[in-house]
Amino acid sequence: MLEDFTPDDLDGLPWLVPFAQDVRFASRGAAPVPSPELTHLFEGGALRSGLSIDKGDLLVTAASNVHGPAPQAAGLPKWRKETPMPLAFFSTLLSKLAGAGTVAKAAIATTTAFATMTVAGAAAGVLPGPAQGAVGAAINAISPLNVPTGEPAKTVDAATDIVHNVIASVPTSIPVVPPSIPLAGSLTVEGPAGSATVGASTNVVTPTIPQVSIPKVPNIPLPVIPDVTPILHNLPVQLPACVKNLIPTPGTLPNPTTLVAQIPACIQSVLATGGLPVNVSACVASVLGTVTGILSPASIGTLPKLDVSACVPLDVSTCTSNVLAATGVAKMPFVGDMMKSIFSSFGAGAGGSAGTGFNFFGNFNFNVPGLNAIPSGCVPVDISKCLSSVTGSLGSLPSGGGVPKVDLSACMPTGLSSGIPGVGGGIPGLSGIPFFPFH
Amino acid sequence: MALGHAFDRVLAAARADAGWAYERLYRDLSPSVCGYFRVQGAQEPDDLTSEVFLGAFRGLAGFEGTEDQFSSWVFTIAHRRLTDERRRVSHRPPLADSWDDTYRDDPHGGDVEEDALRRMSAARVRALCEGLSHDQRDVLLLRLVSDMTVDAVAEALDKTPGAVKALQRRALAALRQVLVREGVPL
Repeated sequence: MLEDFTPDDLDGLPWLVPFAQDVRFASRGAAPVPSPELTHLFEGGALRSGLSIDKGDLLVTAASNVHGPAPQAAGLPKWRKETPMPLAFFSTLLSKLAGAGTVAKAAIATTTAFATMTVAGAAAGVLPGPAQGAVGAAINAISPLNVPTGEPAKTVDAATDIVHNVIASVPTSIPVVPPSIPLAGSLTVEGPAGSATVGASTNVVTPTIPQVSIPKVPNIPLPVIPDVTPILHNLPVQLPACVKNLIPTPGTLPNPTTLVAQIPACIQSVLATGGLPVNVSACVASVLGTVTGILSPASIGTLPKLDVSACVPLDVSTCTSNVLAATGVAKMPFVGDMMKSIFSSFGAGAGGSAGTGFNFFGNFNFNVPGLNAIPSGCVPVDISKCLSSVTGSLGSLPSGGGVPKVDLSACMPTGLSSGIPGVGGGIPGLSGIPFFPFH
Repeated sequence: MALGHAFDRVLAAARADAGWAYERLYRDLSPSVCGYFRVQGAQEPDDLTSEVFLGAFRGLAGFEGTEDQFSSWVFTIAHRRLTDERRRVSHRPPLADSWDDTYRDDPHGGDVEEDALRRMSAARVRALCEGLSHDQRDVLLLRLVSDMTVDAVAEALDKTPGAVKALQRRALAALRQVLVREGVPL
């Protein structure tokens, strides 16, 4: 191919070889579909001379239109159906990209990582103010994502702060329930009074709630929830290793072909992991699924909705209501009033920030006695760590290309026990939640 | 996929108006001709390719030469057809964005992935060549796509071999600058 180039041309031009190969690759392939005239010729028809294919030749024009209009004969635009690119296409595309130059790789990887992190960050409302506005507006314009763009972000930020503070204040111990108040729900009472524990036992005791005489509200002895500290710190179920080591080495470019197959497999693995709370599975699958959707910058316009709400599983109001209901405390009339007061000070009841995918306070229902199931929302997650992990470090993308390490293990619940129906784990101590100092 | 020793026989059959011979010549050379139109950014490379071969087959009686010379001759026709196309397009806004075509269906089936990659490679080549003049791009792509010699390119472009070499040198220098600007290690 290059033999006719002069030595001067070729001197110091090793880069020309890949370029020439690109040109060659682009200019080879299957033979194009011949025109009707050529097809006629191939089938043994006589070669017509002159301007037979010109539009002015009425006889030929009519003949060529017997089976439909000749291509481009009338100079009209061709309307073609656009079809979505299959996943396999991305696989091959990424394989091809893997063969590209280092800088091209870095640019693509950075774009992909930036798209991933920016989309996730913007959806979470955690980008800096001006960036949040710009990124949010851009993503809203090109994708189905609903991202806070500015002022509304304040609501999200505020809600994030509240939830963060609440979680940070969750203690690891739960006060002891006094013997005078029976436990309800799924707690198992063992040993002497006052030392009840939440265990892994499936022996569920549902005591009957006796009539409790409450002389005066301010002097009511508050319930004490058994101390379950020792069993809250270790997760009974671990996320699959693929979640933590999806991209095992920071700053390196993963094998794209492998990654394309790896992510769906990891999602399947997460979903198949028994005992994981539904919200954790949903969170991990949601994030991984989104990563799959952003494997090519070209596909940003077709991103699936990033539902980060799955990563914020602590529904404070619902969780608290149900914990209280489970302990029988919520059945006391004043508790409902107290919770109403507390949650109204949080601004709860509005259902969180509309349109952001977040719903920190859930669909709070003050009909406490009706909540007899403890939702998975009671599983606390270190939201700050989780979001930091998901959104990555925008300012510290690997300088040599590649993507940041993706480690979703930070989205794992920070404390679970077992034995509480409906949770798949347990209930954290709640005495640190702002209204519990009333104790 | 050159015809090799069979070329003379195929050429003679085509001159005798044998349909199979026309098809053989078309199948052998049309992919690279179509590819040339593609990397040059022509809007309807398939249609142009058909027109080139119709013209070539009509003029077969006047052609004498080897397979390489036949290839150069066909590419010369192709290049002139491209020049006409450029002139025509310059007077009329494009009907469709060529990059959008990258993602459209391959009307004749085949390997969708490979076809898409091929089109993307063509887009990449076009992007790299955007900084080149028409003449520089023509020289470079004719050399690389069709394997034409400097003399053959000179004949196709109606220039002297010296001018073609100069254009080639400047094209390479410009291309190198584009790559340097993109940060590609050379």
